[in-house]
Amino acid sequence: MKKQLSVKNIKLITGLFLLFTVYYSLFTVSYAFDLHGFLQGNYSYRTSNTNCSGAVPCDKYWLLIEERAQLSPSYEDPSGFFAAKAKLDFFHDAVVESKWDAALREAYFTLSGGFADAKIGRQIVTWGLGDLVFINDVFPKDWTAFIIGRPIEYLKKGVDGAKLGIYSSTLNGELVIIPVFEADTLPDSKRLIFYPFPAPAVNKDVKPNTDLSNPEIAIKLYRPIMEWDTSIYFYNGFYRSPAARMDSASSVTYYYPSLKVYGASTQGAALDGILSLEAGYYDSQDKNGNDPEIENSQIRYLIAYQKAFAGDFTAGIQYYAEKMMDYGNYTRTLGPKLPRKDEARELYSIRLTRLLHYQTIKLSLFTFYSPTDKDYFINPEIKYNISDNLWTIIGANIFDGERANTFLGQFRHDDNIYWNIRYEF
Amino acid sequence: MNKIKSRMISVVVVLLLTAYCLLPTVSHAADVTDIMKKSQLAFLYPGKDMKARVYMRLINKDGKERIKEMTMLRKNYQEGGDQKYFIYFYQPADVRDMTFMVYKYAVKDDDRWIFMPALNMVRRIAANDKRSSFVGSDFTYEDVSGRDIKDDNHSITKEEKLGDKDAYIIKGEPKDEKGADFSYKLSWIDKGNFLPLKEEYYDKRGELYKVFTADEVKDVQGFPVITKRTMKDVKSEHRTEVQYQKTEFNIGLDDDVFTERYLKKPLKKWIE
Repeated sequence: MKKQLSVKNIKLITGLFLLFTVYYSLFTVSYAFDLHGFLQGNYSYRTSNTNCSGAVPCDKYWLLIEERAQLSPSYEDPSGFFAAKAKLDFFHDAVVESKWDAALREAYFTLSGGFADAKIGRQIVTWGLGDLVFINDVFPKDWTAFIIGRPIEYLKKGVDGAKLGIYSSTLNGELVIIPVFEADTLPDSKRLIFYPFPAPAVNKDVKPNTDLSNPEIAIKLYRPIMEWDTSIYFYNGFYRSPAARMDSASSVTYYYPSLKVYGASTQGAALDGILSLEAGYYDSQDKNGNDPEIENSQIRYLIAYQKAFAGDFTAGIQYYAEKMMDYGNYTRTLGPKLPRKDEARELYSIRLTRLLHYQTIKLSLFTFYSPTDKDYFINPEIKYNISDNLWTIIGANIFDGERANTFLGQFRHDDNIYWNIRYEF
Repeated sequence: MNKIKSRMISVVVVLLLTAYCLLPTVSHAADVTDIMKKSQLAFLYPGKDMKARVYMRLINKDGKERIKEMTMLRKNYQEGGDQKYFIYFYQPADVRDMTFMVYKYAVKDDDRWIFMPALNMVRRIAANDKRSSFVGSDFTYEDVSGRDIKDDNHSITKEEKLGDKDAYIIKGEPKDEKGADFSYKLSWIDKGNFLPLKEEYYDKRGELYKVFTADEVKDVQGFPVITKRTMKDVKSEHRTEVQYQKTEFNIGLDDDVFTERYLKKPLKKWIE
């Protein structure tokens, strides 16, 4: 109850603050007030032939038939000390037969001055260097959005919290305090077919007990070292994907075990391109790896290299690996019916981007391949800027793998093509 | 003895003649490099720092236009050398609030960062492609932030009037053929203020393919500034017209303007 109140309070205060800001700015200093946004159609069609008689998603071939409008008011006072911004989405998705609904993607105000600033409210935080792999980006993601072909910004979800920044020429720091836990949006079993399949009939979802006095904390300290952008990170919070406890054969409780992450990254010019290195230690509360419900601790790291070529062509390659600690204890305590993960998972990715016709056409190809999971993902995409305000994207998401339970292979029945058209103002 | 003497005299004469022949070329080369250096300073380095609202019109041969509008901040760190650039985009809509930062170095590849507001993410981007288009325009990065004078051999081909201005015509040929798209370029440099009035780029077959023109030059705080310029692709007839609006010099840009903090949230007073 206490938690609900405090969450409510935060939302109320933020809401009132924004209303006040909008009112104040509209009627008194309209020159500092901006209103932007977009209208968007987003459609995605599953192309896989699935033979899964009786399962819910099988008789629906559209993954997404959505119209969306975003309004984004913003205000900044002339001194630059105070600013506020919100992004409010209104949407309707015929696939899930939703009514028109609204979602507040971002709503925050900032106070900035001198060597410090604060950003308070719902905001998107992105840390780390990975391209679609995340080590020190411990903030919530919407995987369904990604898999069904929404614009990439919808992979990131906002957090309700405060970010405090301190800046100097010797060291910069950011502290993110999140009193309201936000889980990842996992692949949606109403739309997608994936492992485990089918989902248990009864399930409970127990969120961590966070509040203002017991928040998630994330810290990033950074500075250039010999012209390399170098950061160290710390996170004290929770796994954003749930652990599952089988209460009975048909009932499961999902919960979010606590997690600490220690990490570092650096990025700089090397070998005629950009080299990125990042690593993190995922310190699970399952210290010895004896609890089969909870993820064991992990080391994750990546090496990436990007180079530009003539003709607006850029190529990037990335190697990512995660290694489970206490693997022996994991295999010993794992239930006999459950699929066993490998000790190490490796992932290679390639991203090719070509801009054509005065950069109004963008061709891109992104691929993942995992030699350990023996699965892959291919995402070709064309974006065309029809005019300065109107763009459209056509792309495909293709998944496959030898096994049905691997990270990418589990989506092998969810291949789709997507189309997106947006008018921005 | 006489023989030796006359031989010595002839050697001296030959040496003197050689020196005489060499001297003008040497001083000529020094002149032309000097002109190019002055031109680069006048064009890319005026003031300690600069702020300008840049309005770009990308126009195809049918007259269809696309607009790019941005605020550009620049700070010099070394005369004719290192600089920092900061660019904030107003238009088109899909890049609004995007920012872009360049640390330009005299002796190595630039460092470039881009901020994508929708993801609230700052990334370094590869900067080894100085010949690629700047924001989709007919200008390349090199056209915007300058080409290293040492990369080309320069010579004065002639001096002539362009409009009502006296100009040197300077031919620049890349020392490394692979290091440029042009086989040579001709630059009309204003003898008075050393600004480039016109540049013609010739491709490997010797055909004209790109023309730069300074369409309007104004005095801003005592600095001559090209306030309107055009780069035209001769073959496709596509052109980019650039207007520098609200140009200001020596506004006292702090070093920390060019950091990740302000890349993510630029202060209105700097970008308006």
